[in-house]
Amino acid sequence: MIRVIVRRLLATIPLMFLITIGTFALAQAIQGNPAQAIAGDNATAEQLAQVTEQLHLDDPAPVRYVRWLSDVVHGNLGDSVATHRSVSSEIARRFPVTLSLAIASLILMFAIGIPLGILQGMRPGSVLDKFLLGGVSFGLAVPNFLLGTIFVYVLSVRNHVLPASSYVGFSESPVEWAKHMLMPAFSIALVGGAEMARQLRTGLVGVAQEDYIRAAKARGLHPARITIKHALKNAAMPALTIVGVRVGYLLAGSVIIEQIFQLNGLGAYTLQAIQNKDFIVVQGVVLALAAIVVLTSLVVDIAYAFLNPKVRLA
Amino acid sequence: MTTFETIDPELGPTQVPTLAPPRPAWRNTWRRFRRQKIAMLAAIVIVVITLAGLLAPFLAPHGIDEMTSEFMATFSKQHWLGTDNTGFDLYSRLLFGIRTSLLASLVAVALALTGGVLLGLVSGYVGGWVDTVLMRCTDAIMALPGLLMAMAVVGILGHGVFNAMIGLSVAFMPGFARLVRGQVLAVKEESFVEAAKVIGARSPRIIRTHILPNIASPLIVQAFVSVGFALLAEGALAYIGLSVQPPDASLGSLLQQGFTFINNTPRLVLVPGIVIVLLSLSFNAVADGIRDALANKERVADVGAQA
Amino acid sequence: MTSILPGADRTASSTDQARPLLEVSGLSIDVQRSGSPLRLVSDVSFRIDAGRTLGIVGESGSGKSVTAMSLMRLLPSALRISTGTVSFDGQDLAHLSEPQLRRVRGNDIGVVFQDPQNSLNPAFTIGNQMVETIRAHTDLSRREARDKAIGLLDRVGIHRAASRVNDYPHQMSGGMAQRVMIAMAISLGPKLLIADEPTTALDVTVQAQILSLLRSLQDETGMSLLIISHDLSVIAETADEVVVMYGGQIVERGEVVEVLTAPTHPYTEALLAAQPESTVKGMPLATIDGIVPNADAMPAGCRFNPRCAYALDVCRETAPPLVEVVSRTTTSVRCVRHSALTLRGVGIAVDASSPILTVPKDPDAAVLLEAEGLSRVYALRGGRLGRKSSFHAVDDASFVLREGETLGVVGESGAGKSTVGRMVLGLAPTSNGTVRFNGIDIATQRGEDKRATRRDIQVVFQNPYASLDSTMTIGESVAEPLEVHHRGTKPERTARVAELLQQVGLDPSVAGRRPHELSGGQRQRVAIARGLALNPKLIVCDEPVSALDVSTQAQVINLLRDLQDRFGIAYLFVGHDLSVVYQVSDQIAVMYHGRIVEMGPADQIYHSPKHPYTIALLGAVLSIDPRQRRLSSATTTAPGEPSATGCAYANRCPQVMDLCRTVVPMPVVVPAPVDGGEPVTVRCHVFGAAVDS
Repeated sequence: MIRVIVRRLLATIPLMFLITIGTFALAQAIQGNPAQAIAGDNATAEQLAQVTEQLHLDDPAPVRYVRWLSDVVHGNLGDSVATHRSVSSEIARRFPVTLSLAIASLILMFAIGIPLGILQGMRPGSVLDKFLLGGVSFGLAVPNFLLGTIFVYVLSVRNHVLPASSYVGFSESPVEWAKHMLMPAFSIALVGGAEMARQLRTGLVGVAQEDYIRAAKARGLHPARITIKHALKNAAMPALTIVGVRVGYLLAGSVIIEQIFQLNGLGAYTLQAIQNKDFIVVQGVVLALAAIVVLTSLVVDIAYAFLNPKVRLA
Repeated sequence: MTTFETIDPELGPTQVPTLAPPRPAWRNTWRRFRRQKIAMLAAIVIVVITLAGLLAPFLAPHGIDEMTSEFMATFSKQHWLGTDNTGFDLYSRLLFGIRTSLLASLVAVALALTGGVLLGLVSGYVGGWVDTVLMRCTDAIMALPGLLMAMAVVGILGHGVFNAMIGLSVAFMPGFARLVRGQVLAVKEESFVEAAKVIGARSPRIIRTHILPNIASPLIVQAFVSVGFALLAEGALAYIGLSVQPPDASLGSLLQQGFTFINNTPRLVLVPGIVIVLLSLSFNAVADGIRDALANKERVADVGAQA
Repeated sequence: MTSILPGADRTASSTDQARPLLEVSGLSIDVQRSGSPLRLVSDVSFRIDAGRTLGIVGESGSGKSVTAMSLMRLLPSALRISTGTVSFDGQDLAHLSEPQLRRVRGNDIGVVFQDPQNSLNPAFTIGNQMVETIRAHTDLSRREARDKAIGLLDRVGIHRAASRVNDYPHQMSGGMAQRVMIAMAISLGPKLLIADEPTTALDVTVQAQILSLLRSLQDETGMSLLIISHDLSVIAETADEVVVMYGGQIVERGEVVEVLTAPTHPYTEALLAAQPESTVKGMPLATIDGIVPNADAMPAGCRFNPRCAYALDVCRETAPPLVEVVSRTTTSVRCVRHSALTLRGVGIAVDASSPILTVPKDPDAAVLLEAEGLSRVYALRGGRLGRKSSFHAVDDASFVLREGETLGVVGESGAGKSTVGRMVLGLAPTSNGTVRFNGIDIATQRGEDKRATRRDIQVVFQNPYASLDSTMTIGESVAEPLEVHHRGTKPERTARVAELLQQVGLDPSVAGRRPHELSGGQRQRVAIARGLALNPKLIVCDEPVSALDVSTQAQVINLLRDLQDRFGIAYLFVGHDLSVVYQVSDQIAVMYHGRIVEMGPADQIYHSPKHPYTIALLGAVLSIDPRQRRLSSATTTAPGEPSATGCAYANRCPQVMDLCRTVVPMPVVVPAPVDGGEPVTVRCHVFGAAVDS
């Protein structure tokens, strides 16, 4: 088990390394002329030269990469081209918003996916299964931005049930936090929940064909016990592995959803940076988002190894 | 010219029998697909909407940037779906929007599929360090969620539907590569591939005649699922202004333009919204239908195996 | 006597053997499908008396497993009992409610399945699953149930049961897992144990242990046993009564010695005759023409009539009823002609004057294939601190195969026999040693030479469902070797394909079909035709008949021998079934744990084995003659694991010496005995010592 974890941790290092290279290259490509970007469009040749000199921009790319990497390792992601504010502190300021959104979405995703998946998987082919299957298909097909838009229209503009915008910290008021998070989080979570329900259903249907389920039945165990204990654990394992991927989708979804609900999180920050071609911010925020995804899948993999005796005892 | 040494003396000279032409396997799959009502309905929806998009220049009563004298007009004989704030005919713009969205999604998936198959084949078939390097790279790409990757690519290349297409294909490619690699690894171990090696077949032939046909089914399913996702993703890009630029339209940009007027004219959001959901739903349903039709084939084979 | 088995106190009452415990009457099972339901099993009736063993035998598709699973309503949801009753201890199991049925399942009736490792849930320890079962039917505490589980594991012969109770299924071998399944099935002292192909997935020596265990448990508890098997010898070894099924019906039923020694149904006779054991070596095996019919295409009249050697018009027209045979005490049969026929039973070999004999082998034939010191070593990452260790899949194997001869390589799972075949084929790299083909080391060959050698060595794999590409037609598959080597024009290739298909006994029209449209035997014929396409000198047959029914198996073996006689092809025949390997081989190499432990002429190995492992292997081969049972219920503990040092067999060997545990024995030639025969090579210190002194 320890060996599995260590090996998994070690594999993360080259991956993160590759990601930093990719991110750096991406940022370079976004802005062909960084000095111009930093100094502004109206900068004189002198100013340009000064910026170039100051930031060592005429060094070869590998040198700049190494310098940037060492800054990153020390927690410095540079200053925004547009606002000159520190990217690290901006990310730190906005992170709670996105984290809130991600956690609320994950909770909703499980709350939608698990019960629906079990209900469907227990009696595949039943009327209930077919009905829910329709719902799941619909959940997979509705884009989050459309869902968010309709929510705002129906629940905020028309009926004033829920607030349409802004963020309230969890520590300030959990109830208000939940009220503000419900619509954006649900908009993001629906696809993930539907996907999870689908995965779980497929898993349960597959497990039901396994010999050990028939053998459990032959020993006179109660059907509920067979489903909850014998089938679910085996069916949940593959469903668990997609959680890591899902976190990535949640983050991607936050870009648009934060826009619609006017939340000042990482998503909105990313979008701004891309629209402004603010390459230093893009570089920093993309790296941060990728690190979150890598970390999540690391945690998920270790949890998976822990749940699966074949890996745990390897 | 080679002559065959082993003519069976008992059977005498072999007359050339006319072999029955091979029955195409896809015909059975199509028969089973046709029996699934929902998938068939979805396929019809796709065909109808695609035709509408393709024929947009002929079907649309107004040009895509042709202003009419009516603003915010509701459903009428002249304007089936009304007009918007600039006086554009919504029905005409919808047709052009469908055309753009579908084209972008299909091209993006086609590009991603091509790249993914190449990468996955090399990775899975060659194995070793090549596999390790390629898979680490796809891991790195996949660490950035697909839509963000697409946004970043559009950020680099500039806004516009063509660049959105490229961005989406980059975002989808690692997924295809992983799928292909996994399938190749499984098929590579099959006895029939080993049997082909034993007769002296070289790798290109093995890939062409054994591996590709055997990994095709899950790829086709995945391609349909991906078109559904690509439609949504292109919509998202257009919604934040990174895809088509006005006056051109895609389903996503129509939604975004309608968003401003949602209070008084929800029609401007609902009409493109319904079309995008319907299309995405249909692509998923067709993918499910194909999956079932193909799975069914294997079941039939198993029953046959008992005999 | 105290026993941990709850049923043991019943032993006394089981003396009145005529009391029926289970009585099945008029049982029919349908599969639901669009349109009308399809009948899989029709009108099956039998009874099992207390303390007795009933065996159901049949080929795949006979309906035997479906019948057995229906007794406790464990059928897949698409299958349904449509008519009939299953009365057990005064209850009709076919019509009990689910909660009532749950009290019977596991409690009054235990079940043991074919695939023990997949029948245990991989996510939980075996102890967890046993405790759960015990507590589902009793009021025992968790602690008490666990103690009981340990006692049961100990009883079924698992060493160190108290610690192994915490193992997960994947940590156990197949034989161990089946012992666990048995322990679980008998944990509540069932009156009936249903064993569905309990040893099919296991090696032959493990099969012997499991069957012995079942018998000893039955002796102790007096439970009844229902054994389902495709293997007549398992039934002959264990059953008191036998039911022979074909096409979803019972064709013959009766006391086992009566039915097997003097069958009254032509199918029973044919099934007995098709066993390799029934044939004198060198003679063609008796076959049953045609294939088992599918449920949706049952022939009219008697279901066996298209394959029956005795069929008359009446057989094709009227479906015969199951009737008691007047001249017998226990037998019932479904054949209108039974009183007119005198059929051959077990123990009577096929007519020795049969004219077809295989061509005698030329003892001076040139050496075709020579392997020397062949090894395949895997590096294992494991142990603490990632220390590397290695595993020898094949260790120092040397053998010689002459042109036109067959070398049989026999061994149990993990013996390395398939790896030997794969190394010869170039599909697995060799870690050490050389393979010489026509005197040339194949590892040194490159380019066109290598391709020429590849042409001369072809393969037939075990699983005919996997070895043909399902996306290609049969014709395309058979033509592929010709295409790869650019033989002939397209019409010539088409002609050659037709010729090849005819040579393997198939109609050339199958070229347009796809693999899933053919039966297993037909597919294996296609694989052989493909192997023949390039006129090879050697075909590696990797378990070519293991996936086939016995009647089909006989057809394929006859075909392989016939092709050898006609084309002088040599075979490297890899197999696990010693009686099959003996039938086809001139020489036999017996492998155990990567090493060839004994090698020599087939007759010598089969009739006077030297190595203790070969002796054990032959001792575990069951007979189809119920009068010659081989197993006792005495030895029931699981044998030791293969030894890591010295002779791998040391932990199981009855003749083990100290030397065996430390020093790997080298091959020793044991000279032929004075009364004839030939020398054999043995890797055993018992013989090494004899030579030295």
